[in-house]
Amino acid sequence: MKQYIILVELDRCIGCHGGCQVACKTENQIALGPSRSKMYTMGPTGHYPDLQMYFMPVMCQQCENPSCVAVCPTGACYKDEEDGVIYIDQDMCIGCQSCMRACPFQCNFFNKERHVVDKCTICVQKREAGEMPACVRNCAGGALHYGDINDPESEVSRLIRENEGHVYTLRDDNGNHPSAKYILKNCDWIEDLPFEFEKKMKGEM
Amino acid sequence: MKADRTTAALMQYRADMYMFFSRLFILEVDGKLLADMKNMKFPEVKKDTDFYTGYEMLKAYLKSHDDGDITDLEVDYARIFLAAGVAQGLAAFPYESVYTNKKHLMNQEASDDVTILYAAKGLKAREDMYRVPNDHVSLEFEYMARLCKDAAAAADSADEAGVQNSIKEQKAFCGNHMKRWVTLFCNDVIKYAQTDFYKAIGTLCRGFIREEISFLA
Amino acid sequence: MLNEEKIQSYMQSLTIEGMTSIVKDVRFFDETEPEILKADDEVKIVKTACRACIANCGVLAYVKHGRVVKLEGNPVDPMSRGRMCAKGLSGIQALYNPNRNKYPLERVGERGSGKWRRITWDEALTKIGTHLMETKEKYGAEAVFCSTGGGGNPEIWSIARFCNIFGTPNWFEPGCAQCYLPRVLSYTMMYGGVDPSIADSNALELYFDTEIKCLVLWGTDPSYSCPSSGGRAVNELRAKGVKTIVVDPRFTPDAAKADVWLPIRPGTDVALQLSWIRYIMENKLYDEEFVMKWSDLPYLVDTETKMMLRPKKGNGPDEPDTYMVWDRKTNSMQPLEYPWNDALDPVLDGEFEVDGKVYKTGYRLLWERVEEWTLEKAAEVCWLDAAKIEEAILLYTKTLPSGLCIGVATDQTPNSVQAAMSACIIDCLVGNVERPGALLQRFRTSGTLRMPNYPVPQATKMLPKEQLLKRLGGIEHKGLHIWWAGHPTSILDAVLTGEPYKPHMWIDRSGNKFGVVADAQKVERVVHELDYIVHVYMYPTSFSAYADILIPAAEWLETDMLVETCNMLVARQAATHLWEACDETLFWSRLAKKCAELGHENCKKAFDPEFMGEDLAYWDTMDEFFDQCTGKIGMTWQEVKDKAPFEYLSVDDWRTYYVYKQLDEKTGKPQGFPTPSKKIEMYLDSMITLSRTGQPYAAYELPPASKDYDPLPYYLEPIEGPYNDPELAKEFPLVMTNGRVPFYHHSTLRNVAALREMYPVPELWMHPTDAAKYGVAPGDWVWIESLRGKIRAKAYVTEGMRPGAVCMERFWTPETLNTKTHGWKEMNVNVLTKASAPFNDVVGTYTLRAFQVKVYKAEEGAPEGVWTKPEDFKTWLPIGNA
Repeated sequence: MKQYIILVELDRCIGCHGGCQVACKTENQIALGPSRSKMYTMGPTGHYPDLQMYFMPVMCQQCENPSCVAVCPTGACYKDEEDGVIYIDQDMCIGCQSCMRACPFQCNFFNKERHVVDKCTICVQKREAGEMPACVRNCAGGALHYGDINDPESEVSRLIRENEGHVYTLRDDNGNHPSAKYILKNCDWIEDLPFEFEKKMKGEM
Repeated sequence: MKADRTTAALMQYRADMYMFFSRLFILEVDGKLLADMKNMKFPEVKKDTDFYTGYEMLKAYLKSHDDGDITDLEVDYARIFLAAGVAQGLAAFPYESVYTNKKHLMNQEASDDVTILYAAKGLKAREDMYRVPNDHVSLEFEYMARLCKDAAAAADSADEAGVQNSIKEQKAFCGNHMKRWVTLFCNDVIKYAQTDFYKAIGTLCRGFIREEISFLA
Repeated sequence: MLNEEKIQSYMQSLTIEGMTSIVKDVRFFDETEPEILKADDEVKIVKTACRACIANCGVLAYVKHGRVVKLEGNPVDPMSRGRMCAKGLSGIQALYNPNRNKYPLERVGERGSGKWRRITWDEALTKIGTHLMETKEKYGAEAVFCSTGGGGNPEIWSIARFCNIFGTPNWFEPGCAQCYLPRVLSYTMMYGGVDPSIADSNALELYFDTEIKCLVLWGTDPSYSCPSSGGRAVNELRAKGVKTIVVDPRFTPDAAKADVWLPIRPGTDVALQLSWIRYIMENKLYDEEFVMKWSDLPYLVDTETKMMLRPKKGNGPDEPDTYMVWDRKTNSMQPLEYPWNDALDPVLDGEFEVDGKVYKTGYRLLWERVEEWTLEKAAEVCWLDAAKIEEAILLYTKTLPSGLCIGVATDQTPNSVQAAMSACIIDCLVGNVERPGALLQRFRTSGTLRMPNYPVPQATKMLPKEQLLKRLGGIEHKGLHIWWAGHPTSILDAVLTGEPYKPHMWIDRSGNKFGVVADAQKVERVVHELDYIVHVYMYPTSFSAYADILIPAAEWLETDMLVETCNMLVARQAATHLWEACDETLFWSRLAKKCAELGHENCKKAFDPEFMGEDLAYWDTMDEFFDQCTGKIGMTWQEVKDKAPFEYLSVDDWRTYYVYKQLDEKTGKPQGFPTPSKKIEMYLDSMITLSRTGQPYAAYELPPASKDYDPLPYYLEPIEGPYNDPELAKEFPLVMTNGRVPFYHHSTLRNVAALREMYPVPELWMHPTDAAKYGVAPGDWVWIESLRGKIRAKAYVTEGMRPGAVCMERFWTPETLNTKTHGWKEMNVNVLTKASAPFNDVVGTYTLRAFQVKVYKAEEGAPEGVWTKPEDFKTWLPIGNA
C-alpha cells in the first residue's frame, strides 16, 4: 500500500509562512482563522545567548492507526487504500468534531461555513492533476517534500535514508503511528508535541 | 401577458425605473439632475412599503435642499459606492460578483455571464465613462430596461410571441442575476448612506426590485 | 403577477411625473453588432514579477475571465527559483482589496474629516498642476516638495526626475539616508562597484554555484526581509555547508541557523567593526598583496590636510592621479604611477617626517583609528563576549573566500555611513573582492538599464544651479546628492519654522508617511501647515487622511517593469487593470504634461526627445518608455514581454570575476576600480572633497558643509544611549531597535487579510529578565514610551532578544483610519523615534534605532478599535470581479 506523507527538513524551514500558510489556504479555499498546516516556532530554547530554535509546520500526520478514523460516527473520515492519505468526505461529515478531539496532534479544524471538519489531503486535487501540493511548490526554504514513504525510490524515502539518525516523528502516546517524518540535524529535537510546546512558551502551562 | 397598450405602458414604466436607478448608481448627482428631480411628482402608494418610505424620504430631501448644492451627495456617493477614503471595506460595492462570487453559486463569473448576454444584443459598456466592470448594477439595470423596451415595442405592435419571448428573457436575467444580489446591495446602500437622498434611493430600489422579483416569478 | 388589478397597482406605484425627461437621454451602453461570445474558461498564464517588496521574484499569474485567480513562483527565475513569500502570495488580496483607490478623489470639508468626492483624471491633474504652478509663481519651485518610499511598487527616480524638471530640489524618502543610501554611497566611493545588499537584490554571487565558504550577515535577516530570494539562497548555502555569522540583537531564523551569533547592543555596530579591523590588522589576517597593490592604504597622507599626496594629476577623469608611497629601498617618498611599480618596495604601515611635516600611510591612519578597539573594549561597548567576537573574526578570515553583507540596521542611526565604510574595509582587507566567492562583484549587465531595476533617467541637468543650492539639507549632507535627494528633517522643519524658506506643497507617492518617518507627531504638525497635499497610492492610509487629492496607483499585478535578475531579463507585466488606477511611473509623466500645458517651460522641453537626449523624453504610455530601454538590445518592450524571462547572457559569460585586472584596451593597463585612484579607497579622502564641494555627485560645485567628513570610519556612541545620557537611561532603561517580519514590507500590506491574520498587531520582543524586571508577562499589552511619545504593542517575551534591548516592527492600522488617530497613533514605533540632530554628517541619517524607551504593562489592553481576530479581517477579502 502506498503511504503519502509530507516530509519536512526542519533545518531548512525559515518560518516564512508563505507556502505552508498562504499558498495552502489559497489553494484549498480556507477561511480566515484556521489552517490545514500550523506553523510552530520551536524555541528559542536554552538560555541566552546559547539558544536553539527551529520552525515546524505541522499538518495531518497521515497516521497508520488514525484515531480520527476510529471515532468518526458516519465513516466520513477514512484512510484511503490507494494513497494512504486520510480524507474527510465533506458530504458525509456531520461536523460533530469527534475527530478533532481524537487527533493527538491537533491537525484538523472545523470549517464553520460548511459545518464540516477539514484537514490536509496533501493537495489531492493537485496530485491528481500531476502537480505538487501547494505548500511544497511554494516553500521558500525548500523544506517541504512529499511522496510515498513505502516506495524506496521516492524522494522522501531517499531523504530518510540519507539522514539516518536524524529522522523524527511526533511523539506517539496512543499508538497512532504517525507516518509523516521530520528531519532535524542542527538542533536538538523537542519531544513535546508542538502545541504543548507552544503553550509552554506562552507561559500558559 | 397580453400584447396591448397596458402591457406596453407597464413595460415602459419599468424600463424608466431601471434607467432611473441606473443613472443614480453609476454617476454622482449633478446640478441638472437634482433640479429635474425636484420637479418630480411621486405617486400615492400603500403605506409601510419600501415605495412609501422611499418616496416620502426623497420628497422630504428634495424639498429641503433648495440651494442646489450637490457636495453632500457627491461625498455620499463616493463613500457608499467607492469606499472613498475608507480603509475598512464597508461599502455598497455595486457589482454582482461582490455578492455572489464567494458563494460559488455559478460556474462562471457573474461578469463573464452578463458580458455574453450583453454581446448577444450588441451592447457594450461605453468607453468614455469611468471604467466599470460589466456586472455593475447600472449596466445590469440598463440591460433589463432594454428588455422591457423590447417588450413594450412588441406589445405596441400586438406581437404576442415577442412579448412572451422578452418576458422569458427578463425572467431569466432576474432569476440568474438580479435576484441573487440586488436586494442585499440595496440594504447596504441604506446602511452606508449618510444622506437621506441615498437612503431613499436605496429603499426605493429595494422596493422596486422586490416587486420585480415577484412580477417575474 | 398577471391579474389586471395587480398590474394597475404596480403601474401606479411606478408612475412618476417628470421621470421621462430625466431618463430619456440616459444610456451607458454603446450599440454594436450583436456577437455570440463563448464562455472563455481558458486560463492564461502571465509571466510577471512580484513587487510586494523591492525584490522582483518571478511570478506566474493565472488569469481566468480577466481575473487573477492564482499566483505561483516562476521556476525559471534565478533568484527565487519558483518560490514566493507570504507577501507575494497574497498579491491577489492586495489587488482586489475593496478599499483600493479606484478613481481620483478630492477632499471635501475639513482636512481629516474623511469626506471625498470623485473627480476625473483630467480634473485631478489640472488641480494639482494649477497648485504647482501657483506655488511656483508665489514662492518658488522649491516650495514644492515630493516624497516616495520603498513600499508599494516604487520606481524611485520618477520622483527625482519630476522634481528636477519642475525645478524643485526638494524630495525625500523616509528610507534613503535611513535605508540603503549609506551603503550605496560608501561602497561606490570606496570600491566603485555594487554594494553587497542581499535585500536589495545584490550579492549576486550567492545565486549560482559559488565558492563562498563563509557569509557574514551583519544587521540583515534575509529569512525575514526576502524569504524567497535572498533568504532562500542563503538557506541553500547553509545546507551546502557554508558557514554563517550573524550580527543581530534578535535571534532571527538566520541567527538560529548561524555558526556564530553576535547579539550586539543596537547602535554599536561600528565599534564592533572597528574591533574586527583591528584584529585583522594586528594578526595580519589581511590579504597583503591585495592591500598593497590594489588599495590606497600604502599611499602617503599629509596629516595636516588629511589628503593623500598627489604629485601628479591624471590626464582627464579616466586617468588616475599619481600618489606617493614610502619606498623602503631608497628610504624616501616616491611617486607610484598606476597601477604598480616593481622597482619600489612601498611600506604599508609607516609614519614619516619630511621637512617638518608628518606623513602617514593610509594603513597607519586606519590602524590609529582602530587601535583602541580591542576585543575587550568592543565586548564592553557592544555588550558581547570577547571570545565570541574572536571566534567570528577567525571564522570569517580563515574560511575563505568569505563575504560580509551589511544590511539596513546600521543605516538607521547617525553612525550609518561609517558602518558601511567599515563593512567595506573588512571585506577589502581580507581580499574578498571580485574573486570567485566574494560578494563584491561587477558582473555584466544587460545594457538596458542604467541602474537595475530603476530605469527612469533623473534628468539632473534640468535643475538649475540656483535651485540645487536651495536643496534643504543639501549643503550639510552632501552624500545625499548621489541620489539627488533632500534631507527629510530639513524639509519638514522648514515647513514648521519657515527657515530658510517655507515649503507649501507636498506630493507623496507611497504608503504611509506617518508609519515610517521618524517622529510621526511632527509629520502631523507639518501637514497642517501646508497649502496642498497630494497622495498617490493604492489605498488610503493615515497620510491620505490629511491629503487634498488622492490619486489611485496601480498594484503590481497591474503594472509593467523591466527587471534584470542575474543573467536574465524578467518582465513584470500587467495581468489585469482595475478601475482608473494608474502606474505610478506614468503618473509623473501625466503630471509633467499637465504642467507643460499650463505653461511650465521645462516640462514642455521634457517631452522633446531631441532636447532630452539620453535623459529620454516623457512618455504617454509605459510601452513607449520601456521601448527606449529595450531598444538598446534591439527589442521592443512587447517582444521582451513575450520572451521573458530569458537569458541575456549565459551564466558563465555574465559572471565575470577580477574585472579590476582586465586590461583597458586604450591604456593597456588593468582597469582597476571605478574610484579616483582606481584602487580600493579604504582611506577615503574623497569624503573631504565631497564635504567641501559636493563632487563628484552634485551637478554643480556647492559651498562646503560645516565641517569636513572623515576619510575613515569612526564610532558614534548612540546619543540617546546609556553611556551618553545615563540620567535618561534611568528613566528609559531599554534600547529600542527595529527589524522586519516576513509578513509586511515597511508600512504596506496591513490591510491584507491573509497577512494580518498571521501577525495582527506588532510584537515587542523582550528578554525574560527585562520582562520580569518591568512587570511584563508573555502576551501582555504593554506601553512603550520614549522622549517623543508612547504607543502600545503586544509583548513577545523571548530568550531570543538580547537583554537590555527591545525590538518592534513598524505598524499602522487601517481599521482605525477613520477615527481620530487616523491609524497611526496606536502601535506605531515611529511615534517614538527621533528626527532631530545629531544626524550622520555625510547623509543626515536620524535615529530610527538605538534610542531609549521604557516598557510597562498596559492595563487598558489593546488600543481601541484595533482588530486582532482573524474574522475581523474578512472585510478586506477580495471583492468580486471589479
